[in-house]
Amino acid sequence: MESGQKMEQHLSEIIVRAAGGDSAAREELLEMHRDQLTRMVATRIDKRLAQRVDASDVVQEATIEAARRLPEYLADPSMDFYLWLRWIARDQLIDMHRQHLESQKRDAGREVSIDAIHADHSAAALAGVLAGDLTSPSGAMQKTQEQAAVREAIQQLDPADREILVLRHYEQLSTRQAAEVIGMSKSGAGKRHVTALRKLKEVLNSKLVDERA
Amino acid sequence: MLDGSADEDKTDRLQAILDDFMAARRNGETPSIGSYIQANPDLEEEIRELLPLVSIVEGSGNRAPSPLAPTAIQKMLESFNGYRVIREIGRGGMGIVYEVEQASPRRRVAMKVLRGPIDASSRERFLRESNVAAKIQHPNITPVYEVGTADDGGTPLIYYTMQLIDGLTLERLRVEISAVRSAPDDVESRSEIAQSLIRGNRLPGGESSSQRLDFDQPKNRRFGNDRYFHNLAVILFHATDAVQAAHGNGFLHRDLKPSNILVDRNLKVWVTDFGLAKIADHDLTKTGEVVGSVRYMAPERFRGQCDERADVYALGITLYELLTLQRPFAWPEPMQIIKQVLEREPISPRLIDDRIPIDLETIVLKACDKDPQRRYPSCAEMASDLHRYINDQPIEARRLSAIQKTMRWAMRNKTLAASLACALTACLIAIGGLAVLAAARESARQTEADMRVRETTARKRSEAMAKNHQQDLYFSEMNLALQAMQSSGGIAETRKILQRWDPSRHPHLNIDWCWDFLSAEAESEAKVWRWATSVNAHAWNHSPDEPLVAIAAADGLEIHAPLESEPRLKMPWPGIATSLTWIDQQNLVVGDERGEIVLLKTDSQDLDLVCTLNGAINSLALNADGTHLAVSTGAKVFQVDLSSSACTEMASIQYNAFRWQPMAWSPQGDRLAILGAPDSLSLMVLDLATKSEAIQRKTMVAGHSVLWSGDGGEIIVGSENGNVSTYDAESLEEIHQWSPHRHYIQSLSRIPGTNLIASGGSDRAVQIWDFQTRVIAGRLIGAEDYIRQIRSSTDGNWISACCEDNALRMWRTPTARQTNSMHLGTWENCAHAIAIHPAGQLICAVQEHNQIVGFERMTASPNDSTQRSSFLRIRDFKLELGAWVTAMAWDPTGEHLACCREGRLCWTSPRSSPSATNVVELDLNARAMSWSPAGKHLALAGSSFCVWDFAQQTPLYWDEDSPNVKAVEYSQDGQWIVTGCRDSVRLYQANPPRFVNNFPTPGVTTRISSAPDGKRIAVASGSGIVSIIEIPSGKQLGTLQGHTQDVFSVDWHPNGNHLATGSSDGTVRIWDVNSTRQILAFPPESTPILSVEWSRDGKTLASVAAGANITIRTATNNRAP
Repeated sequence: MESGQKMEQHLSEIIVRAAGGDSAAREELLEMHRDQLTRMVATRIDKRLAQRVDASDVVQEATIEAARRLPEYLADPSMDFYLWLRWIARDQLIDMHRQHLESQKRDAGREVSIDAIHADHSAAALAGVLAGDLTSPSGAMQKTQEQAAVREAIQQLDPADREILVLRHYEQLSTRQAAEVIGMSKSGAGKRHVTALRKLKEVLNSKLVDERA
Repeated sequence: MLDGSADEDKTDRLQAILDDFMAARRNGETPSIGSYIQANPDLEEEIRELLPLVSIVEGSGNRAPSPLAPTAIQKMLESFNGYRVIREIGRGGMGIVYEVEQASPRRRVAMKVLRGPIDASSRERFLRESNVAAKIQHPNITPVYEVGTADDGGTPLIYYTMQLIDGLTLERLRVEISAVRSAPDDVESRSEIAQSLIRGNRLPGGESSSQRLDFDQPKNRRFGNDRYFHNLAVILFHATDAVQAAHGNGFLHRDLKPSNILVDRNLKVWVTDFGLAKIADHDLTKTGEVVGSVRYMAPERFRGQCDERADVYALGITLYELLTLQRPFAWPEPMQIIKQVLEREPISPRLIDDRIPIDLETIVLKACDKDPQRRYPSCAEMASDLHRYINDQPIEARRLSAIQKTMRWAMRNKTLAASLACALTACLIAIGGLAVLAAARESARQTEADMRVRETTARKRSEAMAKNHQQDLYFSEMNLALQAMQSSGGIAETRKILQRWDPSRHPHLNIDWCWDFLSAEAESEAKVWRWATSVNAHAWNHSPDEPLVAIAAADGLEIHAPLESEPRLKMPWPGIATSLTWIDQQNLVVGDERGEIVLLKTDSQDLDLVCTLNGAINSLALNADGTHLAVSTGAKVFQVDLSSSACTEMASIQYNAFRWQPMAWSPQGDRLAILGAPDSLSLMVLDLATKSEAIQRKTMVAGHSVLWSGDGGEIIVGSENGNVSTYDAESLEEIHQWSPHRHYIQSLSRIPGTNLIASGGSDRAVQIWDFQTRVIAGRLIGAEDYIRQIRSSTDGNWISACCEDNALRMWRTPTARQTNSMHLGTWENCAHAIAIHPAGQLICAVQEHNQIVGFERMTASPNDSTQRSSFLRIRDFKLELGAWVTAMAWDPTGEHLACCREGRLCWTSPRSSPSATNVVELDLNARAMSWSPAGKHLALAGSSFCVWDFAQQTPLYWDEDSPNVKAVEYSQDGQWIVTGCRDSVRLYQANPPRFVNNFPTPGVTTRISSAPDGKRIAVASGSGIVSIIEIPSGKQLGTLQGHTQDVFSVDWHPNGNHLATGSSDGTVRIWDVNSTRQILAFPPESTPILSVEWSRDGKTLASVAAGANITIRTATNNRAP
């Protein structure tokens, strides 16, 4: 908790410095959120687009746009900085979906990619690596299946429940930030989070029963 | 109260625990659940329940970007190998190509890095690739500098560096040239290299040693476009020559394609990426591994053979693409491409563009011959021929004669064998006939008359063969036209193809439904205006007498009348005009980027400043009585009183995700709906009359356009996922949702005085649909980029859209008669069976709850706008069947509509009073039925087979030996009845009914259709094949192969030449029966096609996709008979 407060303080210091024209501070401001933004984009990027564009590409463009519009933000920094960045990235993503999937994606679908198979394999392998310290490939496989099951279960939840889990766990927003994004009070968002976790448990349990039966 | 705050405290503490736990986990720690319980004993239950769940969920996400994301790569290369990444050049094959700066020697080089985690086989291939590439030295092959690996203890990275070429790939060149062809005035914006090739001097004809294509004295006797073809030949000569040199050293390229051949700024040609090269005696293809781009792979490579001639083939296809600017094999799916590569001859280049020199066409066709034996035996011969062409010497390749072509085409198309046998015989007779003639003349034993007869016969037969050839080409091109129509910017191509096949030019060919249908689809666009700058907004004036459209483009303001090419008014704008709306006939309000809102009197061109806001104006909306404007600056929405110019802030937009603000006034003008306030996932409604607080709700996806229903009771929102949601205007409860588009809806516009809404967005088509019934009643195509804004004229006669390609397109609002494609659905009750009334205007469908609904096309005159409000009248047949309806059919006179359900036959008449349903109980569960052509008898098939006398209401014949019948059909001459069973069809004589014979068929029969002549039947089967069988002989006349899954439905076109089929693979296809060729394959639906049916007049094709759409496609035949 303490470190969180420190971070907040550090952040507001940087914002003040950036607003004062310190260019290093400006860069740091954008840089310190890059990973979180990448996570957001990776979570929300359309599968078809993801074959073409790396999440980091989207983030790259979003940060350029954010840098351009930074003075606008610094003039009135009342909004949470990360959420401001996130809106810009989300907007970029919407635009990219629109442009890529619709104007050029036709070609992407057409291009015969032997990589497509590689990509799938590597995605699975990557997920396995991320799941933890794995020693055996079969362990990785199991873990991968488990992750897939959880993702699938999350997909089955109501949109509202799904959204809060995505925001809290995949995008790693704080309760306050998540609350702001979905337009609820902080405690309301907290309650929804707990409810959503419980619903997820139900879905997972029923899946387990199905599989055993 | 106390409980409440205690609860609150608990929730807060629980959240704090969750936060702490997540933070620790994300730091890589393993926090102990016990310690949390110890600190918060009252929360033990929750902690035990939730923390393990949180662990699982956290573990399931994408926690970090790929370890090989560019940033990681950059860092790794910098720290280990002294390379600084400057930019990404491209991705493909197996890696990413970067431009990097090398520290020592200091230079910029291209670096290819293998993507993703590397397994042993990829690594082996990569190393082999780079080693091979490093050994080849040729002035036109990019040299390899270094092969290396980088490793920071994590994922190892393999790379190699090559000379950096500052130039264009031929792939890119093709795109640029296409762009120039479609906009010849815009050559300046193209790259220098492309310009040089188009307008520059001829490139000097290559000497093998020439490394660079310097400009030279033009020695040409050719002009204009010809230069491009000449220069292209020079480029290909150099590429072929380079590949030839590599072949000489024992290297095959194996992945030649336009993106692997570059032309640099000095116009030097480079062959790059000897990526999949292999030393000829070490053949990897034996493993059956197929690598490379399918489009450029020679047919024999799919059989595991690969030699120099495969590279010749790839160069041939490359040249083909650059000459014609088209892909010879244009299918989107790899499997389809492979099929085409194996089976289909590419269209001769000169048929696509007759400016292409004959010799170049000959070279291309020889290089990409499907048979490697007939190709140039090596690159050396191909290079020589190109060299001869460049130097205006006769080439050595010979053109194929028509007879050779026919024979080879026949050998390839085994399915055509039947019909071809005739053609071939004809051709042999023709040759033989001439020989006989010669002999006859010599011996003078034949009379003159006899000779003439023979001669005529021979000529007629040759003519017939040529016609077959043309017909075949026509079929290929119709499918190309359909494909082009669906691709970006393809409509012009579609029109070009259709023009080529205009029936007036081909009086002897059978130009059919397909041409009529596609022409009607392609020609709906009335007018296109283009600008050099973006078109920001447009608005229609209020006059029904003379509709005018005002357009705000980035370079000023214009007012146009439909169909006139010159603007009525054109004026520059002081700032960039971003939005506008008409106040009345003459007055316009314009908002611009400086925040000014200005009133423009169009007659005097006087400008009056209304007010200035802080920030660029991005949208304006005028209320119904024209007194108030809603204005958005992207950050805030204001209300401007036009009489007093008073500005009131109404809402602030926290972050504007839109370049223009979706907002709409209610028809009463008292409420304003805004999307994106307070955030992009919100819909807000302000009540300006009562000044009460705004109501708002969250939308699950971002909406981008908003409208009110005509009565103000509902708000309609179009979203980025292609859905349209309707909300109750009072409660903002969602009432329903459906999807007129597959992707992104950018704009909605209500057509005044109707229930129709026009919508459009990223799929480049304007869909017109009925807001009440959700019937898609029309589709306007032509947009070449995504649609930004749609507006309808006040009189409802015009629909216009501004698009991202800086064009404004206008269409006449279609009327029922003009509509070509209709989608009845997607609604709550989906249909599974259809029957078209013999008169053609009434289409009946069985819906999910087994009600029968009729859609009656309104036959209003095109100019009668009152009739436009509804394209269709919906008739409820009140046939309450109470069980799954298995089959439905109109009798041939159109008097009775009969349906089957379990154990029951029902019928009704369109003339009888609505509820007059007749029911007979049957000792049969029928699943298929067919009326006799005279309409007296009904053949019913299912658990058994029976012929029912409809007039007498008695069974005429039962076949108890025939259980489990799947399909039944009367031959159209009324002589026979055919039933389909598991793996055979059974033939019965019709009068009196009597079993005659049994023929085997492949797989389970699903549907049978009789040809109009009654002599042939088409049998659809579960194996994906449709067989054409002659009756009564049972002789197989041919099979239609192409569907990838079960064919559920087949129907013979009344002209006897075509068949329509519908399959589980989601496609509706149209075939030419005589040649068994597929003519059109419509884009697949997401669900199986259950039923297809032609109307009696052959103009309309209706199909049903399971659980989704009924699609009605009509060819409006405007040409003279």
